[in-house]
Amino acid sequence: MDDPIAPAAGGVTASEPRAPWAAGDAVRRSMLIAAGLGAAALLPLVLGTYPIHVLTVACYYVILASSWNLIAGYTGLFSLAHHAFAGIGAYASALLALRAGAPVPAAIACGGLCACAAGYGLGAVTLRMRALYLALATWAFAESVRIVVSMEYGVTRGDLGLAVPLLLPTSSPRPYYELFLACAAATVGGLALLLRSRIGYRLRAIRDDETVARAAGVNTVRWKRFVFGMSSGIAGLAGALYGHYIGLLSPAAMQFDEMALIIIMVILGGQRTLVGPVIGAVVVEVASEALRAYGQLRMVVFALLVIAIMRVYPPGLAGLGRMLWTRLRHGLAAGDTTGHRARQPE
Amino acid sequence: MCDVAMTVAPGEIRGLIGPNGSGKTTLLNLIGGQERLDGGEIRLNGRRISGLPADRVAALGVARTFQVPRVFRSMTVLDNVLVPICADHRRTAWAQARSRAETLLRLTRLDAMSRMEARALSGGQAMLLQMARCLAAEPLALCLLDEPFAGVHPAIKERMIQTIVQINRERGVAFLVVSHEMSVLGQLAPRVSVMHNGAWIAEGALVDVARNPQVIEAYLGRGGPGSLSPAPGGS
Repeated sequence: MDDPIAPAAGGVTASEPRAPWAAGDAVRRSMLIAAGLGAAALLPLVLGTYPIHVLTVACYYVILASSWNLIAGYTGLFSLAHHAFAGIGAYASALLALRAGAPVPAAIACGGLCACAAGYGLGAVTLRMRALYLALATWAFAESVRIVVSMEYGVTRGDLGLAVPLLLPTSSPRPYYELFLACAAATVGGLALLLRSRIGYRLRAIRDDETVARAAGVNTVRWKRFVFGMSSGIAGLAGALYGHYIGLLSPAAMQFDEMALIIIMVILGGQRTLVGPVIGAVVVEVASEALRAYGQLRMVVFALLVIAIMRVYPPGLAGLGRMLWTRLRHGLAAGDTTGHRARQPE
Repeated sequence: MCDVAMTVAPGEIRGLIGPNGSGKTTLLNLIGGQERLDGGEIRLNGRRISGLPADRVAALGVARTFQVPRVFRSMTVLDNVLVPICADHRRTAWAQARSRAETLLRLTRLDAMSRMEARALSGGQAMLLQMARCLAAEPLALCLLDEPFAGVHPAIKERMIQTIVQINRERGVAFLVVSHEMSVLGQLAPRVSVMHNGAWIAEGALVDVARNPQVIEAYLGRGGPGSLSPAPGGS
């Protein structure tokens, strides 16, 4: 008789961040990441001004997509207000710099804090909501923020746009690219550390089953507020940085299109992975620029792509890459074994 | 639920039986903090725990399993056991946490599956994983097991019984086991309590309880056969 406790053949193995002790090939992975970052940092040497601007914006979206992945992918809280938090950070920073004369770096930090506080508050209000109700409540919040920003002409200049002082005294995108690249790397690295820590376990437990997480001793109230505040704070910092790079803020950046773009990036790249939102943000931003001539039709293309990914291969591009790499490695290993056998004497 | 008064002694294994809908799971939910009491109180080692949120109750030493196995499906088997070790009130070092989780997986014979996602487990394996997760709690004074043997393969059932007995003997943990399997309860629990329509109707050794007319009536209705005996194998 089969052992009923023994593992069934073909069991699914984990793809999420592993505990520190389980990172067997951590050194090789770190070297790969360092090489990738080094290559990305050298891109301004071979690319022109416009492609570097596109990559700078892509880095901005990497931060937004990664921080949304933390709250929606890893914690299971499907917030539709992430773009609004970026907007809150951007406007708070811009107004502090313009009206209070705060130095831009300090204003950016305050913008992040404002978004963090708003996110923490929203997290507290929506604590007991899940799925559709949470999505609707956060969407309503985001729309309210956008409408207030549009209508408060005296403060925000509404749809006319608010001119914002630049962070760096240059119009060249290169130093901004380096700054955004560093911030994106810091965000992804920070999230990797967070997810491998005890907090990561708590967040993933909340996503899978909040009642059981609570019964296991996880203070779900505390961690849901924390994750709302943290991901909103990151989005706010990104928004503030972006505002002081572009030099002009308008409520258009707080329309739902922007949120849809973030969701597309995460789903296309692969949610619940660290590398997925990075791949998704770069692919979507670069493709978006390449297809600029098609206007809003691009969104239709991206939406169809997301439907296709969800239907055919939910792990997204990151999962696809991992699968191909595994097959290639197994193929090479099988080839080695065959060759070795062929060389063996009769 | 009303008129429920019970005491589980430290290190005791107590069975809890009753017909479907008698309030057994509700009682476990009330003790575990998943539901709130309207009146009365629940104490753990003299400290009032009724009204506390479930995570505080867990921090004080109450762990539980669920009737339909509830595991963290997208986490690995090892990670499932690490969740209570990573709970808010715990400060266990990583290496120690891992070692503790691996010991529990060996105890429940799930160690060969530690890297598998929990969604891939069978119902019985998921029950075992729930038990391992439950036993990973620290401090652990009382384990609430809600029908842990229902629909489980005999080999897994045997492993569960051994685990309960071993943990009870080694760590002095009390167990409150809801089950319809009289033979298993006969092996495990010197005393059982019986609930019917949300009320306490009997308490004592299983053989005595099985002869109690109120219990027979609750299970079989008025005018049923004269005794409710434990299934073969019961003590």
